[in-house]
Amino acid sequence: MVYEFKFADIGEGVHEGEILEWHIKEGDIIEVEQVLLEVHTEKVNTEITSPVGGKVLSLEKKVGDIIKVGETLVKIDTDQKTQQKSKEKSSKTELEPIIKTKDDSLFTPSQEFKRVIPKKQVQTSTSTRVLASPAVRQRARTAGIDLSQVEGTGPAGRVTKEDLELVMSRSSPTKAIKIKREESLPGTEEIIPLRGTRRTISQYMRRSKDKAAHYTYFDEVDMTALDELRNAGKSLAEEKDVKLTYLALIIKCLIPALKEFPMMNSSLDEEKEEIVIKHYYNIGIAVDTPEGLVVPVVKNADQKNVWELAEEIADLATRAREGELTLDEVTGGTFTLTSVGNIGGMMATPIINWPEVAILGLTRAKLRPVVIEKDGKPEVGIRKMMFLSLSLDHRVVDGAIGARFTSALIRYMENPSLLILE
Amino acid sequence: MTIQTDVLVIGAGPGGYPAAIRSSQLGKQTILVDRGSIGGECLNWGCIPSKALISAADFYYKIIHETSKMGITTENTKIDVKQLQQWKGKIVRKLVAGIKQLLSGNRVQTIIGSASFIDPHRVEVKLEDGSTETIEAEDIIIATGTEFRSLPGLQIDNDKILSARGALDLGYIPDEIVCIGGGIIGIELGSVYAKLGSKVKVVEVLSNIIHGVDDSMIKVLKDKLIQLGVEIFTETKVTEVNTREDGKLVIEIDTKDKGILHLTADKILLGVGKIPNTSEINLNVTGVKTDQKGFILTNIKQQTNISHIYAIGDCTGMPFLAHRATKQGIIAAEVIAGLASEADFRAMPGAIFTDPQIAYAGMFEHEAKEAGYKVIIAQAPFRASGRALTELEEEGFVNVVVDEDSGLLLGAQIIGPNASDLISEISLALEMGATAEDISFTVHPHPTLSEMIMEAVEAALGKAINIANVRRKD
Repeated sequence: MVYEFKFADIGEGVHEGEILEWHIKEGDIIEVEQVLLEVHTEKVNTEITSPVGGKVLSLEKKVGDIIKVGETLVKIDTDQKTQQKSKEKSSKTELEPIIKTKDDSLFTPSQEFKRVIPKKQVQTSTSTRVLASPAVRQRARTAGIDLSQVEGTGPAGRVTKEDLELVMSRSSPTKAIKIKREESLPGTEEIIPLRGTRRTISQYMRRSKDKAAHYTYFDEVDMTALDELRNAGKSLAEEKDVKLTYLALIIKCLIPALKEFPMMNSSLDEEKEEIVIKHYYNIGIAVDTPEGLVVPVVKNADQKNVWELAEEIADLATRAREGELTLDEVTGGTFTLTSVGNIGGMMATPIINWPEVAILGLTRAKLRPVVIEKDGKPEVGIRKMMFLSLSLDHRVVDGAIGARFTSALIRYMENPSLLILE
Repeated sequence: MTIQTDVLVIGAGPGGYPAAIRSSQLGKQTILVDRGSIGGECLNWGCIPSKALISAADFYYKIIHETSKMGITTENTKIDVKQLQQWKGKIVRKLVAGIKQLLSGNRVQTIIGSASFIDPHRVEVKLEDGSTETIEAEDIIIATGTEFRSLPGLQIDNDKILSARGALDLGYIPDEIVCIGGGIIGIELGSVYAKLGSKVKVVEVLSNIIHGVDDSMIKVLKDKLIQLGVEIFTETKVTEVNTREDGKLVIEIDTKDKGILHLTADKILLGVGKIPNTSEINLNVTGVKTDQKGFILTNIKQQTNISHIYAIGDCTGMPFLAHRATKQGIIAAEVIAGLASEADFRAMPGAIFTDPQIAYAGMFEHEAKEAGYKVIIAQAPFRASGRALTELEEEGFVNVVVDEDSGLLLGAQIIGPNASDLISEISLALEMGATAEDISFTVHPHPTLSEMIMEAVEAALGKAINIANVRRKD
């Protein structure tokens, strides 16, 4: 029997992936659970194993191809399960129970997705021929549309004039990436195919900006109290061998503020026209990695103490940089923190990690002269100050709520002792 | 005095004059400069005059050797070379006059003179009367074409050592011609003179004539050349050329299996490649990059590394094709005018006017295999075409290369009658992304030569009616 192994819906909104490497070739005899290929999905890199054993008849996709859920990856002849040379083995396999095939073909991973260290993204040129008539190609060039991104409905997948017009009329440009770019002079520009993490980031950012009605609210917070708290905890931190970071402390302050303003920890289900308020607090942490931005998630942050948070953040950040995160660790966030404090800057307008509705941008805490009140009189003091940049989806969170939330957050950050009292 | 213009086109060949006309059509003030041969090599000493001679030689040969089968015989069939040359000249003059009219009708200012760059925006033109004119242009299109290449010790003089240009202008039919170089020029014109009665020998350094075309096609071509009495020496080098007392040339060749031989000839036709006309225009002051041989490097918008200077046609390198130059010229003009044009041809057809004709578009079998396709190859011989038989042209075949997985046509090669006309169906199919089925379902009129394209794709699909099908192991 010929088993058509299809790229499966592996959950978490993963609809497509890019083939990074094939670990098998045509004619190979493979076993159940053998690693077939490595795929970069929107979230992570993952190895996909075979649910069946047999002889590889054909690889349906090439390295660099973008595969969609439901598309056939490989055809396997399940009747040929052994190398011809070892006859002993063949008699053995016959005794084995029939392979665990699933005939619905959309396979569910028989084991946890493996952690995969991404290889340096090889810049392969994918020369998949776009089928379209010369007139359609000229039209696409004029409109600045990359035809390889347009779904063709004509014979053999040909992109017809109608297909192109449909894309041109569509408001959502996710299907057709505009490529309006001047053709470079020979030797003056370098072309890097949009692949892997970069491709994912570009799609996510575009989608967020298309969906959410962004606005950004700025405020400033006096970090003196948190700074003192961090210093006070230093010896304890050394004892526990954990670095006590601002980020862990800020999450501690964030949780009660989110509980006070549940809209901040929600998402909008456009299809059902419902706002989903989440009573779990999974805080995404934006991490800058060599491959680009990755957002691992601290799950159930409300149930963790500050040491657990600090340890988990450090672990997630390290593994994010090494590309070792699992799919589970980069999905399911409800609110995101992004920090550029160690680089510089004053404020930012972060892009929401859609479908979340809020993202809080942290910048560097700096000593600054500020007017403070002492004994009822204003005077100028030197305080460690930080600007907060909170981007919100106005479809869900109005300005007033965003402002009140920020005030609540600042109250906790400036008076962390409240955390014990409430 | 300096003339200011939007666009300057240097060279009025099949690339330059369409570029100038298109540029003017798009509202750009355009000047076209040429050394004096409007229409370029193509019209004056290339495509058109050679086809005139080829056509005449075909008629002449057929009347003497072939039409007797049809019951047509003539006595004392003669060829008046002077009349032939006049007829050829008339065709050329008519076409050149037409181009001049098109240029002026499209408000292109044409200046006859030799152009030479002063700096990246300015060109000095030496006019026929010796005076000079400076033209300053925002954008410049270089379309200066190529020159025939001479060899050390074998300088083209168009007296004894002829380029194609010299061979097309001969006022008589030489007794003996040796073609050095078995490429397109050598075989096309060698065949002409063989048909007109010359004793023709071809010396080629490579392993086969018409390099780059499938061996199965070359075999058909060679059979015909042998029939015409042409002797072919492949893997053979010319070692020495001397002139005998009686004026005959003696060519010493080093052959692969017969050692040193001596050939005699009245004329040598040298067809050993072409060199770009990029040195005389003082290109180096512009900083435009060329390859090692001097051919100008461009991107798919025909731009050089200097963004306002464009290059098109033969001066940008192989393949040397007039239709390629024309399309590139139009693209350059459109890019300058701000249109989103690009050289994204799926097929750049080649047409060779040998006997039988050879034409191809898209991938050859080996190219498709190298590109990783699993291919189906199918052939339809013209022997099976009623129309070919009635034309006394039964040699040759249509060969199609089809992607087994998708059914897409990847390319086709034709050797046989009117191959150069038949190939356009293939080019259109490739540009439109047609499958073999698309072509097979398209009704082809009967009885025509184009039916053989349909038969070939049907054979690839295993459903040909009139020829053998490709067997598939299922």
